[in-house]
Amino acid sequence: MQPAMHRVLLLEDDPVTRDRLAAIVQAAPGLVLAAALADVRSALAWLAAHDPPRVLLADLQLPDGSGIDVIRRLRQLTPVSDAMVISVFGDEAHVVGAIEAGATGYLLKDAAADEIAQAVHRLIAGESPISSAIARHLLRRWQVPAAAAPAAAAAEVASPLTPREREVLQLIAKGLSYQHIAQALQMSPHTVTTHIKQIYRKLEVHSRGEAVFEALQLGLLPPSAP
Amino acid sequence: MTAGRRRVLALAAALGLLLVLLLGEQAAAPPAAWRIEQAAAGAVLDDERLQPQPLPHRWRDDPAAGSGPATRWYRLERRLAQAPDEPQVVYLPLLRDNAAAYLNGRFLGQGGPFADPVARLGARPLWLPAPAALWQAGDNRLYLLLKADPAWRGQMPALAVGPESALQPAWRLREALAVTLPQVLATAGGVLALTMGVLAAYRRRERAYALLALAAAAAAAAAYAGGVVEPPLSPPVWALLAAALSGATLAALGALMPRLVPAQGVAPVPAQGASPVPLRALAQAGPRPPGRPWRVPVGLVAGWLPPAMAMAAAAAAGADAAALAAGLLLLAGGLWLALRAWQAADAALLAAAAFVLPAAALDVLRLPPLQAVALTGAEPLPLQPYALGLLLGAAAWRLLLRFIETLNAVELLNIDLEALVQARTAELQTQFDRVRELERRQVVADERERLMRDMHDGVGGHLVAVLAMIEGGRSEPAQLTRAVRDALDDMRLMIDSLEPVDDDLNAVLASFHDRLAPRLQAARVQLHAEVDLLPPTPGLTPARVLHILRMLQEAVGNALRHGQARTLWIEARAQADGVHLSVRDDGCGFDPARVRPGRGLKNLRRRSEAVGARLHIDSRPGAGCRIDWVLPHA
Repeated sequence: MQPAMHRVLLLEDDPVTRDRLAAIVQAAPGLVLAAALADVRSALAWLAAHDPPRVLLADLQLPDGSGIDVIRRLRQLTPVSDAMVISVFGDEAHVVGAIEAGATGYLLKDAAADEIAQAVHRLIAGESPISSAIARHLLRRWQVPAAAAPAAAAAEVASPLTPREREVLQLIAKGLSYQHIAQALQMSPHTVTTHIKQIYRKLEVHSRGEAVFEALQLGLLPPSAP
Repeated sequence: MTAGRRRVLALAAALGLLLVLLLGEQAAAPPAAWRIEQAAAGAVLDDERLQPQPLPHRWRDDPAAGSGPATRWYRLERRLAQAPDEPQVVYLPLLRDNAAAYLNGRFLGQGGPFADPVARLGARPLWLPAPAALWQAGDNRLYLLLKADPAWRGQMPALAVGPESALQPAWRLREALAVTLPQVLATAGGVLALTMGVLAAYRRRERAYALLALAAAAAAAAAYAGGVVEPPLSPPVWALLAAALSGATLAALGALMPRLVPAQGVAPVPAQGASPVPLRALAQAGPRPPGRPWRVPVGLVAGWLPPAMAMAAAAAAGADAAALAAGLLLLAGGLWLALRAWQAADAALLAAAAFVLPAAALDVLRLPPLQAVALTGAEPLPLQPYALGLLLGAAAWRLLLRFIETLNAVELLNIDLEALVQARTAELQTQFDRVRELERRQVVADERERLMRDMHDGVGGHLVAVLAMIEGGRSEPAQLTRAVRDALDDMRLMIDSLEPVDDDLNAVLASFHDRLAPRLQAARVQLHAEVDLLPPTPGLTPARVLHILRMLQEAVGNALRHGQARTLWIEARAQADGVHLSVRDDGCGFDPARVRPGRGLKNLRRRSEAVGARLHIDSRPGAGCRIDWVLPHA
């Protein structure tokens, strides 16, 4: 029996990178390229006309907008699809923005073919990797300078994390493996994974209010939708 | 109003006061119809021995007069057709001696004691009512007894006898000008003394206030002492006291003058307000004039004292003309100084000062030559209280003016200082900004240079290798891929090194691990990372971070490329002597003694040195390789 084939939608405006990634996806076992698109408009049109793909690989900077919009649309269409950000290194800020829109993973544009295929498979398998750089970025962003920040700004960036999740994030930022984090915080490695998923979920939920508001504005959701 | 006009006005005011007094003298003279200028006089009360005597009678001019206390009797006769029906009065306009009056054998009244030693009294009018009932039709005899020191001031004035209503206006005016007004001035002097005393208490640094307070107090006390008719002490003691008070007044004024009139004050200098530098204005308004302050007191003493002494000597010797000349000289000198003063207050001050001594002398001398030219009446009004009052007033004015000038100068100075501080602040800010801009530029330039060098060492080198391969026709895909991959890897390291790590070596190692792990996983190489929580590493700059990242990259690259390792161990341990970092592999290893050090090893050494790490390479053929660093605590 042939293993299940996972449809992958690719969204990348640079033709060279797009062709390379398309080739990698097509060559990877278990993956099939649903479409390779170059802008937000055609991606939204594709999503409207077809079944949602299992995985969306989206570049963020596109000629007619941000890939984040497409990721958000996909999350609205179905909860089972995964979205992955195609990023360049040192671009943690955009990756976090994408995670907030519902992305659950990211891959580096220049990664080797094997790395890319493995990253997509791990995502499908339910892993949500979080790099130390992104963890540090989140910690910096949610750092509430008690005295410096005015009340409104403080409320805006107030950390949605529990102290425990924050500790986990801090140790990830220090590069500790899940196993070491589990030892340091005296919990099971499984609990660490749960915490990380929770952090992802909270990141997305944190921005859901805005997303729903925006969706209403765009006419994507009927006003009665929960 | 110009300074010149102010000066003239002040002088005119001073001279005007003298004129008013002279006119007042004329107005205060009793009506001629009731004046009596002829009497019979003698040393003892013996009608037969009384000799005819014109009045006023200056005892000093009388060759019969001896020295020491003496008495004189004066007899006046008046024949009346019938007894008067309205109240009569005996009025002596100016009396400095002790006097008593008897009308038709009845005592009318007296002024001053008759006991020895003889009392010296201040000039005053004597008003003795002579009731109508005491007068009789026919001959009436009025006797007046005077007691005085003949050499000093004994004098019987011309007197007036007549109806009270006819003489009262002249008496009232004279009483006001000779007694009441000087008393008012003395009281004002007391108030001035009190005010200046308070000022002096709060501003001890400035002696002028204390001196003026002393002068005003002494003047007021002297005026009081001079006005007493029946002294509470022995008359000579009392006179000595009054003289001492007058002397104290003059001494205090003498000491005060140079402090009030600056050395330049008698020569025209620019007004203080026009001074371009407020600092200088403040110095000029200060308690002590700059330049040669001794010039004024010396000038005053030299110019003032000899004429004053000459005047006193001439007056004592009876040389009235000489005394008058000396007095006029004094006056002229003072006025000349006053005219040259550049401020109205100084002019008034100098004019008043010029008046004081001549006025005192005039009061004592009652010079006939002056009377002869009708400059003064037969009964001169006392000038000295007015001159002294003028001087004290002018001094107070001068001090007040200086106080105001000082306030103005301080205000100006404050404005100046404020502007200066603002200018300095702006200047400093500009300098600070410039320095900061230079520093910023330097930092940017340094960082740019470092990045250029690092790129040249890393990415640049790899790209040059790629170029060489393509140009040399050795463009096998695997080799090219590796070279490009190396270039990309190095670029990642550079970007990672720019991320803020807040002195956290763990963050640096975590970034490296995150980059390395997927690569090794894809290459089926096992990675074991054992990293302790490390203490903060101060001074973890991007440059140092990049060195550390490249060291690790070099070690890992060597293990994978040359050693064909299947397993990698990366460890970071916090130890007492520093952080122990190690990269270990299970590859084929090499013999450090026999391997010619290539570029990789040289770089490893160089970078280790740059970050201050101790490097140790341990490898044997077939036994893998272990590279150790010890990063000492800062």
